[in-house]
Amino acid sequence: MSRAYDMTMKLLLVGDSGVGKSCLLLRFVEDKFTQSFITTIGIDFKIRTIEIGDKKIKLQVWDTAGQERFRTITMAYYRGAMGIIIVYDVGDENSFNSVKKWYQTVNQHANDDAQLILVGNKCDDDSARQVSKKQGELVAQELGVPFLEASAKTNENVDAVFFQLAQLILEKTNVAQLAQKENNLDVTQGNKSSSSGCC
Amino acid sequence: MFKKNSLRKHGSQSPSGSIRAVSGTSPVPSFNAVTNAIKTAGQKDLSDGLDSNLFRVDDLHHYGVSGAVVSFAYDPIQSLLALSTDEGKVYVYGQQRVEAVFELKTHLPITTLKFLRGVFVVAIDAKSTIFTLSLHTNKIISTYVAPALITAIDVDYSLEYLLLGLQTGIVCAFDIERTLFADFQLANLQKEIMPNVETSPVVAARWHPRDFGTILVAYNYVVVSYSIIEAKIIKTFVYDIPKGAPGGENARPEFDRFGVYKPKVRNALWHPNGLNIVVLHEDNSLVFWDAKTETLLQARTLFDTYVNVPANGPSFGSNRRVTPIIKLAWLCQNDPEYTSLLICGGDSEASEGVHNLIRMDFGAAPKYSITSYEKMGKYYAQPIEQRVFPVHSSSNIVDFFPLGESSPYFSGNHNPKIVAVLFENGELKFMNYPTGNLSYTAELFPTTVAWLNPKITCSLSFAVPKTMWLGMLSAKKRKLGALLKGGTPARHRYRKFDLKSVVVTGHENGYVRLWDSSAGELDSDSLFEIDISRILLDDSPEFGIKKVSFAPETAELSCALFNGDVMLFKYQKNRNFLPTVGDLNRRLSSMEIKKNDKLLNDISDRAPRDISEGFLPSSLLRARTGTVTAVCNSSVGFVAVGYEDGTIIVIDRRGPAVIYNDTLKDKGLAIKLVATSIEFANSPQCIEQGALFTMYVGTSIGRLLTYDIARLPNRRYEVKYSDSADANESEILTILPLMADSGRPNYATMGFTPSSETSNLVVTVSSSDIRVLKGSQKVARKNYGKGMVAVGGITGRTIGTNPTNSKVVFALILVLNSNQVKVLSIPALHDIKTLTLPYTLNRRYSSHSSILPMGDVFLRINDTEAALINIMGLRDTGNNAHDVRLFNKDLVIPSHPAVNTMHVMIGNVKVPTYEDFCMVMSGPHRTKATRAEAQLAFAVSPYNPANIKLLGNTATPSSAYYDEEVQMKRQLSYSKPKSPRTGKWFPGVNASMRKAYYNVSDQIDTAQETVDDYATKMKDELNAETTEARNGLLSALVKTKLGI
Repeated sequence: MSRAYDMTMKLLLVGDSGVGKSCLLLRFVEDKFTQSFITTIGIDFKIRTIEIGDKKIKLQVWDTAGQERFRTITMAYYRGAMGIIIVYDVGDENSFNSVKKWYQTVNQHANDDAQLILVGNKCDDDSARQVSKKQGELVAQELGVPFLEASAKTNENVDAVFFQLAQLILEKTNVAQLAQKENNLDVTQGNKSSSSGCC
Repeated sequence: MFKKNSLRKHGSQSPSGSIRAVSGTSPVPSFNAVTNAIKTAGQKDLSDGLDSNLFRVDDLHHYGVSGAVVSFAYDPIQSLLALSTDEGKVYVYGQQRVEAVFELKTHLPITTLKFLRGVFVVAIDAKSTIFTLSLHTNKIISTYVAPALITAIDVDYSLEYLLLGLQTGIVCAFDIERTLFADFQLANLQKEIMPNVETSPVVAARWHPRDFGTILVAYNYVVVSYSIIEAKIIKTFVYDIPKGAPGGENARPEFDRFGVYKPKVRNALWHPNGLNIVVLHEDNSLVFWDAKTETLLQARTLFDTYVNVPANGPSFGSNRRVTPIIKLAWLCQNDPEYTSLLICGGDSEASEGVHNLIRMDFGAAPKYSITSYEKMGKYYAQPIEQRVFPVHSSSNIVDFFPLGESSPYFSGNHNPKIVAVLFENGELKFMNYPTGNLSYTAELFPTTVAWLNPKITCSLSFAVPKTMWLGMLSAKKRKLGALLKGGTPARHRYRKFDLKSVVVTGHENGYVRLWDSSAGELDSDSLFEIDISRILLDDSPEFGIKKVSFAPETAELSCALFNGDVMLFKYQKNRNFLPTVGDLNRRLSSMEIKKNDKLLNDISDRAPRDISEGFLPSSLLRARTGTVTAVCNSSVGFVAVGYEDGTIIVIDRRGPAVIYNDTLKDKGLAIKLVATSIEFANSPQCIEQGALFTMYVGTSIGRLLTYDIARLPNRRYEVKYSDSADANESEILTILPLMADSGRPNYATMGFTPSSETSNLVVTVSSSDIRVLKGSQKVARKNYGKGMVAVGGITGRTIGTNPTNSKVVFALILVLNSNQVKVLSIPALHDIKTLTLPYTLNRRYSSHSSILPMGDVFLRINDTEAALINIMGLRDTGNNAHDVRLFNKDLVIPSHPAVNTMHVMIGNVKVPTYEDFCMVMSGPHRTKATRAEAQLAFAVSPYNPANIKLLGNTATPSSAYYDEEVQMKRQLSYSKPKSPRTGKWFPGVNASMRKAYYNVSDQIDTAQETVDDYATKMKDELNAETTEARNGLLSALVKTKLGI
């Protein structure tokens, strides 16, 4: 039977149709790649457990459909997402132009504390490249999110995307837990002081 | 809607009997009648000669189902489908024109529906009454009330026993062939195993998929596998969650004295190979067990795994409550080792409802003999693919039914390609499996099912010339293989006219369908479908169809969507036809109509590339002024649209260009005026002023506005307001322009030759009164109660028997919400006849009814039902039509799936023969089943020794289904291969092709020759544009039939 884990993280992949969200997921979870393009209808879901430091983290990754017609349905899945990966295709300028639209959608529907990351996929194909790495970095800077270029095909940076995101969430959670702890302490102290006041 | 079409000349008919007809002529003339008589004195009676005896109600056909669909069943062997409704009716469908209705003596919902043994359907109502229906006689064989509430049911298609679990915890079997309970009975096993736990009903009872001697019985806290043959428990499965383990999302921290939580069982299923089971618990845990060793393999929820193992993850029984899993089915591919679970519920928060199906695709099961339990646990923890399928609907999903294709075994889950999804509001949708996209293609499904899917939002009916319709049909893409092939259709019962009756339905999700209703029933072979969601790449609710208007002569169609957009279509050749592109349109998802678009947008480039000819989009009118309240596509190239804010827009399709855009208002009273109906008429009296047509606009306050349309020197048209009249007391529903001298409808037509003598009569129909106007002069009026009138129209017939003294006279027909049809004279509005309808009309939908020429009335009864009646006795042929036959005795049931060798080796289970099994179930003194159905069931049974040899080959040869074309070919093969006209050989063309050609050309000839004066006149009036369209369609028809 599986060993217990320390934390579960819900991650979401968003971006235009055809940018390679499903391929990134397939590469990350099963280390496979397929060239064929099958539009995702609805939402794909996969689990992979990773280890960061001494923490065993169960990643629940949701691959949403990029098509307009499914957007209303996928909204429900933004809730509770701790990390969101906005994907564009470096060989498709339109998908890069949509990044800001996706950023707005995410901000509108996801939790405020959700961690974002921008990923330029298909970076292996230089001949088809329409969006430079610099452009990607600038947009990421503007949006205040980390950025990576990756390729599901060559497995470049795929693990890095998920590990970096998980790491950031972990740090956030630790900070939050610490704050919570301090708050609790404060409350206790407050209670104590009030009780002492009573006396 | 009665559009400029011909009325066939018809001899005076003597009534052969009136159906539910009552005379409506009042003995004392009303005040209205007197004033109408005074006002119409000197006017020609256009209904002269119409006698009340000429009218009666002939109920031709009924469309849709009554009540909301509550259950569903599919038989892949007989190729039939069944639906049950909350009004106690069961509908069974097969191939085209195969439909049977069983009215059960219950007003309760029929919650369970199962096909059995080829010849039976079992229906169980909400209070556990078991109805057995015969597909041989189309009658109810028996009704039996169960001794206690049935809480679980399972069937094995090849067996006559229903496995029933009762509220009391008892499991028993009902023999449907003998209509009695079998000797077999199983006491409450939970009581035996857990004597101190509260009594439990049977939660689930399942036949083993490969061994009917073994069953699985689930109680609240224990699941048991049980051998019927050996009368003993095989294994027991008890699940508990220790403290510290997360459990399912809906887990409650209710720990017993041993510190464990025992979530109640909700369902239990066998794996199709019978080696594993899955148990669903109330906390939404899915627990997988090894059936032979009671080993727990995996406890998971939809999105979490190992939920019974203590972890530091989310705390037990977290506050996040999700919807309960309401159904799960273990589906398999053709090879039953390849399986997946299809699940409904459990993925969203309770407040969001159930709108998705979730599929866990496990792929091939690992070899039982070599795999470890841990590996099996991983196999269920990490499916090959896990996907959430959204099923668009505002209503919640309540059930789903996979349509297993390969066999009726494995609980009907053997290799489904389609899954029927049932909603709380009775809606039924079909999902392609495993792709997950919804299938609305009407040709695939029985017409009634297609009629309901997606939900109808508007409907109307009209007549088109037969030649035009046939021309359009000939260019239609080849028909897809229909899903159902079963049954033998009934012969066409009714006389057909040379005019085709067409029913148009607008649906949710942006579908418009044009059905041929000429033969009474709707014919999905000759159906046209416009998929707006495909054109706009969106099937959101706002793209549902609100209103449709069709101009038969020019084959133009306009439809208003719920978001206020209006789309214009024209039947034409596709200039961008690229058959190889296929589904590309669907994928160009980024192609969006921009938000800052114009009022009138060219969308011709959005025509689906894979359609060579059909209704193609031309323009999109986006006014952004709210909902559309009226739309009219005239046959002269103008489209007028009225909006809820009073805006009225007229488009000349020739440009296309907006030629009029104004907001209606009453200058004096500041009352809001909204267009509720629009009609275009020829304008004979205005010809001197240069006006060609008149546009009438009926408004929400009963005022009729008149506009002249004139041609300017620059060949453009101009719309000018000319007059208004306060015609009616409430909103005008229908405007009927008539020629004052003959009563013929005078809708705008190109090539109309005006004469100075003719003038227009206009009949305006509101929901509470009727008004006849001549110019602005009020000629006659008739009042009804508020909201009483559903729809009005004109129909006509020939009076007199020979050409010298015959004439065509007309009458106004009203459908009233009091379930009556009124026949009124024109123009005096005298009652000629009042007919009582055999239906109860729902006011919300009755205005979607239409009056057609030749006395056909299309009645929209309610949300889901419609009917076609004839009120002039012109459809009755006197033919004795044979009934529909559902059961086909040539279709032998395939062999029952055999047990896995491993099953026998490990389980040490004796697999019984069918005879041994029956002996155990019913005892040695079992009576012989005497019903004909029992004999028929045995005739097709896989346990019948006579069939064993046959089952070695193909179990269900497709040629065994009744195929009209095959039957026709058989008949043709006896006829001499000569031309019916010249007696010559046609080298290179086979007999059936020649026959088809002559058949079609004869039809065209007949259609041409028999069109009456009215139609001939209409034909002559067709302008060059219309003639071109018509010729194009005709040549397409002939070319297609010749195979050019």
